Amino acid sequence: MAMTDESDAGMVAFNAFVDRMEPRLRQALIATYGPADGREATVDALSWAWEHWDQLAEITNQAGYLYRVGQSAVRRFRSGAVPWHVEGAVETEPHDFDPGLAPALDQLSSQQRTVVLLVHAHGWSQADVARTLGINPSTVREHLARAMTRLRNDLEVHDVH
Amino acid sequence: MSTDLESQLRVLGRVLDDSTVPVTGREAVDRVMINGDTTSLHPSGPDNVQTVVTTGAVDDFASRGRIRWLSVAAAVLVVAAMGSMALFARSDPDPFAALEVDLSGATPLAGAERVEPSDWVVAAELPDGVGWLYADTDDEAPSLTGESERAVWYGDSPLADARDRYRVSVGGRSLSSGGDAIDIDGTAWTISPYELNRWIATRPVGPSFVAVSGPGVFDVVDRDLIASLVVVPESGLPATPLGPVDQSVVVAQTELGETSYTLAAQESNGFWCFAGRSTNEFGYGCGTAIDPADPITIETGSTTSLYSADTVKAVRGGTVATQVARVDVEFVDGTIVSVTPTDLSAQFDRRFWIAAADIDTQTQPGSLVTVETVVEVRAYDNDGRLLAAKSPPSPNEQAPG
Repeated sequence: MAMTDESDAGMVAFNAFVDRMEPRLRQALIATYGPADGREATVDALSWAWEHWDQLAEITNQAGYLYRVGQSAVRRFRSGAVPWHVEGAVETEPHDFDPGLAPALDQLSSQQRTVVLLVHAHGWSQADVARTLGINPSTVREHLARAMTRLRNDLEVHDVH
Repeated sequence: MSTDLESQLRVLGRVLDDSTVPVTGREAVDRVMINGDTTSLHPSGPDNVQTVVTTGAVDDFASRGRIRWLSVAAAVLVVAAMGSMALFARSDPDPFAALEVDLSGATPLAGAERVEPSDWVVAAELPDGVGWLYADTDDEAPSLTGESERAVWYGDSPLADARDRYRVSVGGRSLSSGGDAIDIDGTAWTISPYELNRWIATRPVGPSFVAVSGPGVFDVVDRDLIASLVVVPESGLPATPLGPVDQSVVVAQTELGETSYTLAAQESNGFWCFAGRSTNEFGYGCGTAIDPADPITIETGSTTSLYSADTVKAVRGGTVATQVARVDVEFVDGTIVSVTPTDLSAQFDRRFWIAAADIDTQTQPGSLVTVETVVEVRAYDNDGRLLAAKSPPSPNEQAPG
């Protein structure tokens, strides 16, 4: 079906929204569910955004809302606990991190892992993490501290400060 | 290789970003188009955009996950014939499709002057992906008129964290103090924070209180849910509500010394209440969803604060699948208690276990700490083969309440 000028304008607006929203939404959902499911959930969440554009405009915390939409999507296509698998490059190519890092992350609770990755792997502020995940900033601090302690113990890493 | 953990995580972050193809707006729209003829989508898109879905009916009242009471009434007869176990069918992409309230006798809450003690308040519209879970009654906190609290629970997955659920109740006492007054479709509500990362909205209806609570920050979808509240008779609920604790039936029993410990249960639509009792102790919890395929669940018992006692009485109970013939419970001091799972009520398609032991706290580090008393629960079949093993979550990871 040929798109009209008006629909082209709408698509431009939606693409601009996606350009702004997608990287952080994808980072958050991948941190929670791993690259494969996280990316699928991101597409689902953005599809929902397209379908509910008017409703989305009324939502103040759009990133947080779409994150929850992505969570619902994963729960629909994955019943029960969702393991965090790092497929592809991370498992098969040597990188400048401990090969036990990904398995150690998998041992964390989903929320602990998400917080650690968003703060330390992607450079988010703790306030942004709290807003997107819909949790209290003090909870973010607690998850971060406990997760980093557990990772250091699991990896026997002793940072020098 | 860097030994600094933060540096390693930064590298991992770059790898994750590099190894994942970014998502495009076109891809999202394409997914809507592909699904357009199969999932009754409502493809509005941005303002002034012509619809891009060229196949399939556009139905404002059929958006998945929403309960539209005008359309639901006609579907109830079909729904009633569907088995409740479909809720947990792992291959079912939409576990809530089978469970909907009969709204044919519903009246809007907004215009109600009172709610009869036999009536329930339910949501006629729910956020996308959210559906009916179960209903329960609680006579522990009656209203000023003495009526029991009746609550319905909604969520996006039966097995998801209980803190992510919505709850709509009537008949209890108002739990909130203070809050913001808000007008929802001409009706005054009070919105307040409630527990960690939850909100609660309350309003009096005659002598009763109606309370709605949900996860996260109160948002427009939550406002829509409240605006859709209706009053229905109990016969309109899709499953029998879980009742007060005295409706639980004893399913397993064990002894430790001269003390008898029992586990009692009740079930509705895959959700369970469990009550653990001994001579002078009692514990009760409701709203647990059990996957029938799960070989072991650990449901009730003690996480014990260790003060100065050398030993504590540790008790744990739970369920197993029917093919489990023996359950071994290993406590933190190495004590292993073997029990035969039972269903003393002969009412359920699960078996139940309860195990008690005096455990040596001297093996635990420190004091004044809360510890889980069980290390692992193992299930065996008639031939002694290990079917499954499970450890309880650490006390720090358990949901409050």
